[in-house]
Amino acid sequence: MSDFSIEVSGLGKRYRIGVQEPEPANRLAAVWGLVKAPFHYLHSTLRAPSEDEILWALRDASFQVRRGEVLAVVGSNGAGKSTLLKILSRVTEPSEGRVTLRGRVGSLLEVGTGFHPDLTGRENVFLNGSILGMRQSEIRAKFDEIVAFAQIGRFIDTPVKRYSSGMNVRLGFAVAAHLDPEVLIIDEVLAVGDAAFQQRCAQRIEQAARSGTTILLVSHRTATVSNLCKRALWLDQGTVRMDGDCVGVLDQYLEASRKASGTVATSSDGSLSLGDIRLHRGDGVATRFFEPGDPLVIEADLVARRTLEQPRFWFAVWGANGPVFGANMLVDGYEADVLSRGGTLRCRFDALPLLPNHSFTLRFGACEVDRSRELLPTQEVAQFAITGSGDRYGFEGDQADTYMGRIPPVVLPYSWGGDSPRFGVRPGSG
Amino acid sequence: MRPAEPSRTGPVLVIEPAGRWPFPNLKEVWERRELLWQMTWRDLRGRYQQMALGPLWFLLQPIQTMVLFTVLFGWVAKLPSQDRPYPVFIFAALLPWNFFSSVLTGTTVSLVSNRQLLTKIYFPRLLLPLSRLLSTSLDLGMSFAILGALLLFYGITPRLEALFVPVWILLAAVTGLGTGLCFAGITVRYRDFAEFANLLGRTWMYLTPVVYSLQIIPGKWRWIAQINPMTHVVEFCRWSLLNTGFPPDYSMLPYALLVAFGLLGLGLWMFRLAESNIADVG
Repeated sequence: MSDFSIEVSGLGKRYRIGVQEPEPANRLAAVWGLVKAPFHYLHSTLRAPSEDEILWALRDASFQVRRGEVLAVVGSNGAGKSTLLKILSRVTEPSEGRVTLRGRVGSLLEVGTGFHPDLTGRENVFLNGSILGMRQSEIRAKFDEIVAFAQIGRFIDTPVKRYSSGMNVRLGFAVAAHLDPEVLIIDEVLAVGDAAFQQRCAQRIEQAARSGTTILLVSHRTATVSNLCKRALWLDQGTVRMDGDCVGVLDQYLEASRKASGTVATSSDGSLSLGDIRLHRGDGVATRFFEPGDPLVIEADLVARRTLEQPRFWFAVWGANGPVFGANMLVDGYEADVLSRGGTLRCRFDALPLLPNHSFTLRFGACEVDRSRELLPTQEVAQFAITGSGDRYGFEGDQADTYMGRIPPVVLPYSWGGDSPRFGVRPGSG
Repeated sequence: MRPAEPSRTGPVLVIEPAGRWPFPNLKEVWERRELLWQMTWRDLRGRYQQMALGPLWFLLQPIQTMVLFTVLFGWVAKLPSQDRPYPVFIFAALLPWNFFSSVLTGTTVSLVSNRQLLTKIYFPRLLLPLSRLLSTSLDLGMSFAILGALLLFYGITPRLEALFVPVWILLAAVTGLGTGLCFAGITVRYRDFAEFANLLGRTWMYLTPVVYSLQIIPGKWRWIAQINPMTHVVEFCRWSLLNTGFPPDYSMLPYALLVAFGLLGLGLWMFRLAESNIADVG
């Protein structure tokens, strides 16, 4: 038996798109065109589509996902992410190629679909669970857990049409979260609702990943996936552009999207553009991987179309759960007096107090004259990861390796103490 | 969360293009029968939840049709009714007919009216018309109760053969489902086809001996009516339930069965073609 949970080979999806009709030459032709319309319609649907009517939303995509692996799929709008997701979840059928899925599959394109507004929350849990593929006995066993997760409480016997949209989403996700599949295909936009609930959704996905579920996560925000996934697949115009280590792929992807959309990397009036961004350990050799205690040097190439008065720049480093640290000229007293033509901005962090097995996203922004005029809105510009061991902090052994990726990523010097004789705290033996 | 145990024997699912002659996966439909009950329940609850009279509508609708047809065809047009009072004469035929027609219309719109669900999640699409068929059966049960009351009122004793009525109801279900499945696919592509299906349903009723008896059709044309499976259903129901003395004529039955199951086969194929692209064109 194969070790792959998901095998995709030569997958393609063809759509037929409309082509522009020729303009009628005169009124008579216009009326005649109207009369002919139904026949024309029939004719155009019955004959085989011509080349210019065909759009390949996905073409020749091949990849495999090992059992227990977590794969992120990234790409800009229209890159084929949704099409891939729809094929894998069987909502639509491929035009060519083949997918093999091994194990119980759960796919979530949208939560709460299939909720019937007139039915109560309780009835909808059973209906929705069935649609997702759960057995009645299974739903019954997990029912209390589901209701608790959704925080619906006593409203469970109220028709869902009286629920707030937040309650609807919570209940929908709660049902889906208890599906416990072996292969989970999930759209990241799922994590909706308020911040606290979003966090719990993310935790739930993380938990599934840890318990050995194979996950294919289609992501729209790069910041959150890098910690969950070791590997990423970059779709571009319907084909696989890159497949490999998550940090490397995300970084290339971010760079490409920065280059592709001039507007993102350029201020609205065009006065400042961001060119290349490089990360290194102070030795000038660009890398995405750092070890605890390494220096982090960021170099950003900037191009100014006019002379900028008192520009201020900032970097912020974000982890999976939000901002971690940064450097900001608006608070630290550094200033750049004038920037004309362009140059390289350099920022150095001396020793990264970070734990291995964490990934980070670098954000960059700029403004002019004490923020009265924004030059570049804060945006994601690069990815990096911490590898190596926790030796530097004295975190050793298998247990430390297991947990370091799950605890907050910043380490400050600290010590423990205790005052009861039976509560003696001492350094462990190993 | 229960740790997902890596199953070596877990189900293997292969997704491939549908091919030219696709057919629904009936085994999968059977495996998901729990969802079928759930959907039937959703159908019923959804339909009667917010109504003052609730399930009483099951009763009112067939009674209204019966009264209307009795006045029109029984009293005004004075159509012969096989020596039975016209109300029971028409009701014994309306019973399978209403069932058939609501299976037909329900199946026709089953894909289109659930588009929102179909574009988001996969389940065997055939469950939609099947759940509709099941929930419609409940209306049929109610109609039987009314018929029972009518028979008591008029003092009519059904024949013993009436025990086979469910078999003929099954034939009505096959015909309705088959035709509806053919239409469901077309309706996905051409939304206005649902209107045409409605029109055809109404015409079909007048081509079937519902308001009149088969006997008023001249003998040499009768075979045309008899290749219609619904004619056999209606004729059998009337004869066995009302004990009319006009036994059904089975000479054309094989052809009618061929029509019914041919429609079902064609319908399953067309439905399968349609479900593969509802998310794309719908």
